[in-house]
Amino acid sequence: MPLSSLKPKMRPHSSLKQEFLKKWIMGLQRCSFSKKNMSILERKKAIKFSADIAMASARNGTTCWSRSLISNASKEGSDIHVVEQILGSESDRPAVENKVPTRRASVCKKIVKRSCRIRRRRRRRKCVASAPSSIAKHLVRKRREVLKSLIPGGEFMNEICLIEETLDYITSLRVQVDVMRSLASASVRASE
Amino acid sequence: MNRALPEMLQSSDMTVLERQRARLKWQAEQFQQQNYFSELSGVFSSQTGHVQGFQQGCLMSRGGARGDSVLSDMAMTRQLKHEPGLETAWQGLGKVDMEFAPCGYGSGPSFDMNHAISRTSSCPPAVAAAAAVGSKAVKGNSLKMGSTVGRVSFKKRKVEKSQNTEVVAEDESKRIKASEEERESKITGSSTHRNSTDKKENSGDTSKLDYIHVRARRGQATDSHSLAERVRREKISERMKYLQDLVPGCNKITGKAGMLDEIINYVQSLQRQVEFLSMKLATVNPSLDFNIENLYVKEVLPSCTTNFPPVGMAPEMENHSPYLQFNPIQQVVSGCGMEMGTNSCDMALRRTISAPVSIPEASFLDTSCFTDMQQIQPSAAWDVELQNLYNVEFPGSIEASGLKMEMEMEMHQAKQDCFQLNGVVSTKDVNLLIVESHPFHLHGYNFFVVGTGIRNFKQAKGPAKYNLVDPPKRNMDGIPTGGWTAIRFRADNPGVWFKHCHLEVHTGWGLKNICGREWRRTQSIHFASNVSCFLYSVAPYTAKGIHGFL
Repeated sequence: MPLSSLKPKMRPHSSLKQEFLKKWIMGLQRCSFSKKNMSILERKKAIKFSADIAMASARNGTTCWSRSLISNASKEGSDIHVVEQILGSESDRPAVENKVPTRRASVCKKIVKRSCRIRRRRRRRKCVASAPSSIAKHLVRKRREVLKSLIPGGEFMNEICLIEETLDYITSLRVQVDVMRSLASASVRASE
Repeated sequence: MNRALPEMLQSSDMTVLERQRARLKWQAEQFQQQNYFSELSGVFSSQTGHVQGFQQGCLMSRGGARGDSVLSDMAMTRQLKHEPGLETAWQGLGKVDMEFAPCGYGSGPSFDMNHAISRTSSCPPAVAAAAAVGSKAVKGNSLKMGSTVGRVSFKKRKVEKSQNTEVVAEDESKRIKASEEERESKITGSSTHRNSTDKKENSGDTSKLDYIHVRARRGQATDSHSLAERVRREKISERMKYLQDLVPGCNKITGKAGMLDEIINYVQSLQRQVEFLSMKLATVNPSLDFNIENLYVKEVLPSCTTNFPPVGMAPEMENHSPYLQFNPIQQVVSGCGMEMGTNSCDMALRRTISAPVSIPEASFLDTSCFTDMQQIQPSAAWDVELQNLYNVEFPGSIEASGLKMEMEMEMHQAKQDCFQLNGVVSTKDVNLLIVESHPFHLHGYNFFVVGTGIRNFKQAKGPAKYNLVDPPKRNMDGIPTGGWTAIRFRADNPGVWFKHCHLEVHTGWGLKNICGREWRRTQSIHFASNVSCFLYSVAPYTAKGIHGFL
């Protein structure tokens, strides 16, 4: 399970770093192979894109955010070869497609949520809830929505899931930042 | 009665308490069942590897349950056997009428678990009397038990261990000593709140159905919905605790909203760092070819002196020296014991180095960059236009040809200078010989004054008070006496710009910062009022005693 890879004090595995770096370099090679003379913005996008995909694939489809990230990336046709390259080594592509929450399920959930929201709004207008507990709930709800917007694929998760995914996502982001930073500093020094 | 216990155990939804009692009674009568126990003990010992007590009630995956619960139950009885003191206490409790009202319902959509709630409707008066004694002690433990969902439970074994020794004790534990007191108090307490797992399945089978038994506490609602709600809430709070450990700076925050705030900030800042670093990498490498071996070869030199003591590693490295293909760095690598390599096919450094490969740990050269990013910590509510300032935009007109590494380095350097100086300044502490406010003037830019304050700038508190809604735009501003001012501006005016105190006497700082060439970036710069070149030279005279007076 993904969370078994998290250590208590959140010191990322060096193995995770290596895996990420390896996949990322693969993706970058693929990118540079396809297009020559990219502008700086394109390059940045390519770097970030391949880094994200590499990070997501390092999880091997065990977490929800990684799956949704990969599925989103696979949808747009332009960079799909990069995704294939990175994921090509593992055989979990079919698994990836299956586990992503289907369109219908998400649409159903959205409809339900919308109706609940409308009902709640009607009720709220009648009685202005000024109790501190309701205010607190309101605040928490707002923040939860923000968090859902941040985590890829967050809209499909319930609360418990959301927090677990956040944990995993944070460690992955940290690994990503560490590796990118060391690479950047190494490049800077290399070109001196 | 030989068959009574297993049947009972398998047929009904029992809480652990009743199960224990029944079992003990049975065990007292059936002392000849050594074979059964020994067999189970054998099975159990094979499982000791996985089972951490808490996890016997936990799910390995969503909807899956371990069969260890049965074994652990049996093991518990086996342990109980060894405690004669407990046994007498047991028998003193007398018989307990066990009536169960199990009701099951489905909990959250993603978990295929049924929560069954059972409730004892009657208990002997002796137990009830003793309940009050133990209940308080156990309540705290029981609250921690929360969920039995296993996905999270594997996350932090170390943290869990401390939390869950009580939990473990409550259900089935292998640590007799730790659990003895807990079990005793639990046994005597009837109105305690705990979870246990169902044992519908035979030992060794895994089953999808799993029940969580939640005993209602005194005065609490006992219908299924509120109990489910409570279980859910406990799960969430348990996970929030993990998040607290993960996100820095969260230790003092106790409210859910504040915690979520911090988490959001952290995630946003991490994402922004990724953006920033990818942009930086894009500028560094015009052709997206990252020559790993070259990079890491040179990386070895500066970082290994700081990170790795050469002493213990030299003999080890000599074995690997024939494999290293980079002669110039051979001695360096052997000296430093830095083992590197990645699986990139471009790698010249082969992975024959058997020791674990590690990417060089961050000798974070970009501390300035990082502090830059850190200083731009967003608050949850932001004005949209100001938010644009923080996106690392890039003017499309300036193409790759214009980018040179020297410029990047210079900016790096310059920023380092700026921050270094500031760093020195702020730690140099308050210089109070001349206690007055300084008006400082910045050439080349108009900036927004977002914050100001007295005394030393505190990273934690300062940015929280920033005015990000409608800050005044100036090119000269006064720093208050013995205080600081925070400004923000977009560094879109390339060049070296003078920043100085406008009082002629104070000849300014001569900071050569803000070489914003291709980068559009905002920087927060904090000036302490009582530092200028002039004052700086007078620094030795300032007594800390004067500082104490402020």
